[in-house]
Amino acid sequence: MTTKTSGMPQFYVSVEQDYVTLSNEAALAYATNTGRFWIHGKDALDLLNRISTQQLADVKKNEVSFTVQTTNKGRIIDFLTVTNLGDRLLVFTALEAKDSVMDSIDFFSFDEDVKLEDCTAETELYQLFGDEASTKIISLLQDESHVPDINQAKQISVSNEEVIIIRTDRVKIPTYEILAMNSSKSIHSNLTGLGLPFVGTKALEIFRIEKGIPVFGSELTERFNPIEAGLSHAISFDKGCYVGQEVVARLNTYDKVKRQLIRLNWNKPGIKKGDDIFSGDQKIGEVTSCAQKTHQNFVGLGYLARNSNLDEVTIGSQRVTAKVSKNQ
Amino acid sequence: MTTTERKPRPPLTITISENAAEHVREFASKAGKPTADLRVAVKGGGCSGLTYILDLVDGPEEDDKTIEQLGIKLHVPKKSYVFLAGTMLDYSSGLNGKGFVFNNPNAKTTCGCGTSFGV
Repeated sequence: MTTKTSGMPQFYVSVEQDYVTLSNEAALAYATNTGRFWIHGKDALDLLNRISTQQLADVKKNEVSFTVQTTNKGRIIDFLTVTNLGDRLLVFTALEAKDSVMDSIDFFSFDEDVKLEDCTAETELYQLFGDEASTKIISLLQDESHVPDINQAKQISVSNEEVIIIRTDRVKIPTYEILAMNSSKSIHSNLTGLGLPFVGTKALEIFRIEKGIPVFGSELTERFNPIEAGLSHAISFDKGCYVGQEVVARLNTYDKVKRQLIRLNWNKPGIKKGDDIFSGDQKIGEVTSCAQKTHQNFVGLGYLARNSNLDEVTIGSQRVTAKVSKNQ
Repeated sequence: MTTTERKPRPPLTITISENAAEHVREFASKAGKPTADLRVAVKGGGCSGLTYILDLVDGPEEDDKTIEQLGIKLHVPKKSYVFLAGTMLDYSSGLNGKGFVFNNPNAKTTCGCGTSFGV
């Protein structure tokens, strides 16, 4: 198996087996869709604090925080995971959004001591998911004190090679992200040495949808704002100004959010991203993600008119009936 | 054939009103720096994306563009100048006054409090 993170397979054993592994035990994945870059300089945190939704000014060394970069109209550019490493910040973004996020940060940088450095190609990012992930990471690191707590990072050495380990649980199960420098030869063999299976993109996508995690290009686009995307945990409503704050604050204060992200479940093929969601003949939303879980079980995410309080809707020109569950 | 009168383009410089210049001198004097210059710049942030900065300084920094008006030297960083060219710095006084006001022709959007702008 190649250690490169490109060309990740859709499944390893089967989609079903990958999914079971992911749900019940612990599994590894290459984070092929995650772009990453460093922000060097003493003003890095202050700049990011001024141009994104979260209160980042107080993020301490080795803490991880989530923020949303928004346009000045309060629309989503992308969701960012920011780790303060002391001498620099590590930022995760969607791979497809990385260049525009970096360009945007660069645009807002004037006299500040800030330098951006794309490290996507020079690093490899692995994800270790599952209820057994904590046990497995202790085996890898051979020292419990090296294992980060939730929303914390550790910079450690594995077989004399520098590795950054971050725990976020953003997908609502224990999740460790392991960032290795490209020169690292041993981290891949150390990880596979744990006897953990890798899972493919299909099972990961089903899992993401079931957990209601929005992604760039589907739920996270400039058509939506961070509150309707369920990203309020990444917004500080009392930090003061940032790009887009006036709009986001107004939506929140005056309760003006019109849509909400919901989960969908149906049992007939033919539904695709972008299909309309109906209540009777009235269009009340749209599908933003969908995946086939089993032969007759499909899962999806979509935006629905807020306060529609429906348990069931129909989707697309075929009017396929789907069950609705609120995204927690 | 009808012809429409072209709007005069704003000058590609930064100007300062008499009122603003007077207040700069007043603030400089109160700060104990009566001969100070004014640094006019932009930084990222604020609701609309960019925020104005005014500072009393001893002189220009490297790469600053310097403009002298009404006896006041305005130093503008190169990158900020792109967003400030054509701006007239004024001062709004009185009970409901806003203090220094940037009349910036490049600003397509401004936030409610008027301290930030977008281009």
